[in-house]
Amino acid sequence: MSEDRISRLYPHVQESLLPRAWSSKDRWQFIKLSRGNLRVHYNGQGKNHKDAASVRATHPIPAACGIYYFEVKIISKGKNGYMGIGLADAKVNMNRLPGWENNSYGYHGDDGNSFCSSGNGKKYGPTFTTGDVIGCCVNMIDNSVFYTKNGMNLGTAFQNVPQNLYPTVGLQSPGEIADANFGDRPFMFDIEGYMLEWRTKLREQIDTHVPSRPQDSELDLTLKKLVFSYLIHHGYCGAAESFAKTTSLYFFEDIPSIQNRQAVQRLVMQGLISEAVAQVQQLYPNLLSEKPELLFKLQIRNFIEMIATLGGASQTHPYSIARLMNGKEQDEDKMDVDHKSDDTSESTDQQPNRRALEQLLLFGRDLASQNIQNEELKKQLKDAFSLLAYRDPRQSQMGYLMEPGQREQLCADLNSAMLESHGLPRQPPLELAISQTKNCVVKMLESGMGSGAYTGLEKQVKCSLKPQQ
Amino acid sequence: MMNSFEAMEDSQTSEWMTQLESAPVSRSEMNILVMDYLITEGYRDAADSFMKEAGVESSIDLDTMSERIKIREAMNEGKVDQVTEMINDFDPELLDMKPMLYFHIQQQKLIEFIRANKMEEALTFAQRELAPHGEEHPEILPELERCMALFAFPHPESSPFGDLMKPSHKHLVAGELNAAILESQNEQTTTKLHSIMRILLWAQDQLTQNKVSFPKMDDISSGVISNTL
Repeated sequence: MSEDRISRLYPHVQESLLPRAWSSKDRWQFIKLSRGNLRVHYNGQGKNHKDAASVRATHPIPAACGIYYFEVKIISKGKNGYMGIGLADAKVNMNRLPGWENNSYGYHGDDGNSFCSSGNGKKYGPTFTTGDVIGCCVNMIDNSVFYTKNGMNLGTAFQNVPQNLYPTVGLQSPGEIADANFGDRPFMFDIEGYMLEWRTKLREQIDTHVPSRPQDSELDLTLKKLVFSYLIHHGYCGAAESFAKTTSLYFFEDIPSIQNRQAVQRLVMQGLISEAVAQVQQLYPNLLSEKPELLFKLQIRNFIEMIATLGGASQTHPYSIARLMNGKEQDEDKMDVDHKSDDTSESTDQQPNRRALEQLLLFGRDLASQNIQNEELKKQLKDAFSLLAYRDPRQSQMGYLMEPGQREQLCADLNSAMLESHGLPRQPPLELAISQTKNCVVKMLESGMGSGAYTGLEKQVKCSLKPQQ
Repeated sequence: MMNSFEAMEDSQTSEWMTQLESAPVSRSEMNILVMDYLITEGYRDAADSFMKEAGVESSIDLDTMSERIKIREAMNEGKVDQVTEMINDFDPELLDMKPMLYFHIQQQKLIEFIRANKMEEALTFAQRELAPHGEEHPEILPELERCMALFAFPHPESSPFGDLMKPSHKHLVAGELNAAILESQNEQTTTKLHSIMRILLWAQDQLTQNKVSFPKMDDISSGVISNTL
């Protein structure tokens, strides 16, 4: 359940990169941890500020969170309640309370002051003590920090905070105890509401953004072109024609050509590879000779389809295949096969299947004899051949090769090749534009731009926006 | 514009390009987006064909789309009287709720009078219909003034206000009308593709502003990345 809450709060962050507990290594000696490193105890003398002790969380706050929040509950204020809650970068001295050092920020319970890289506090909010829940929110869109007390927003405490800060808590008197909540349990403050406000703000910003180049304001026209070229690329002729009529766009490939491409693709999707290849040779005479690797892929696919159409166990029994491949006498083989098929009732089907099997093997041998250098293709061929080893290839490890969905990629490759010969892009610009959008948002997250987390892109189209750290 | 490509690694660019071409969006998802576009923008026939050819379901009943389409098509052709009649049949309150839209439709009628060189009728219409509307809704006055200026020119199409005379102006009003109808029916007024493209334009500008180097797609309609090393 808590995993769900965390992934809903921070959908674009790898969970392993989030702060989930206090660090047992990154603390001053007077800090003791318990309860899965979520509870901090003060263990020192607590005589003066030289006895201050802080601890950082295990991870810094990733910018890809957009907005980050954690809460600390004061279990006991101990002797004096000299407790500070806030943030610090990796190098801040832990022998100090949060806020006293450079790049350290804190809100202290004894005086309610905020401390911003200084030993002198500023008036900020109320004091806090045993039973209070203090929250700290880092907004990486406007680089500000605010605190909450028992669910109430106390207002902005700091602005222009740097990146890569760690949640930090500091104690200074005996008996002080505090529990942290990094998202495992529900928060007192309505952080989801706050995040929603910012999501809306950002969406508005995006919707009303005036592009830096005036020609980009012609979004309607751009979209018309993108949709049109998409329809043509994938051969949706009827839709393309209707669309062109109402938008007065011009076709840059004539309809018969689009229909031909469609026809070839349909053949591939049906597994009729030889027919598809014949069509391509007719329509685009040089295409396959210029692309030997594509031709080879088509032949491998053909081989797999031939295995699939043979079907049934007895025809592709390793024993019969092995004997055939070893060039045994035909009569001898026939006898063996007949002998083996005593159990089955399909004796009349034996002859055509045998011929199909022979053709299959001839085809396979021809493939294997081609001198292919490409390692990837060699592997594909080997995988295809391995299907022969099984009684029921579909159930085997390589069985997935026989699924109709496997034809899709080859279909797309062939379509791209045909389009390329017309001087048209290998991929529809619409698809490229959407990929580019995704890439740019991920780039924003990788570059520490928190607003990238709230674009709402993932609501428009299913995609993962987690940066690879 | 910042050109920080000299600083960018070759390998980074090629990794970007590989990701770009490896299609993170499935064909069925793409088709849903395109269908959403065709329907929201009101391309009924194209949506029909697309549904059959791509095997995509339409998210709304295509027949309820019909009225909206007819209205939009009539507006595209500048047949304002027909449009007003159809709107009043369809949703009598729509134009009351949107004075600016109502003005734009009436303005188009004026433009059509001018196009047909029916100057007297145009003037009468302007005085009878547009002026009172301007008194009630002062926000339309700047646009009204622009439009009235067309009278001053013997060849309005080549005047500084010539954009009003172009077919594109009709399309603009048709789009505004289409969105208003969708809004009144609580349907989304903007397509998912529009939203995605806006994110693209915004994100590229944000990155550039923050001086982050990346392969930029300068011409979105062609999908070409400029600035590759």
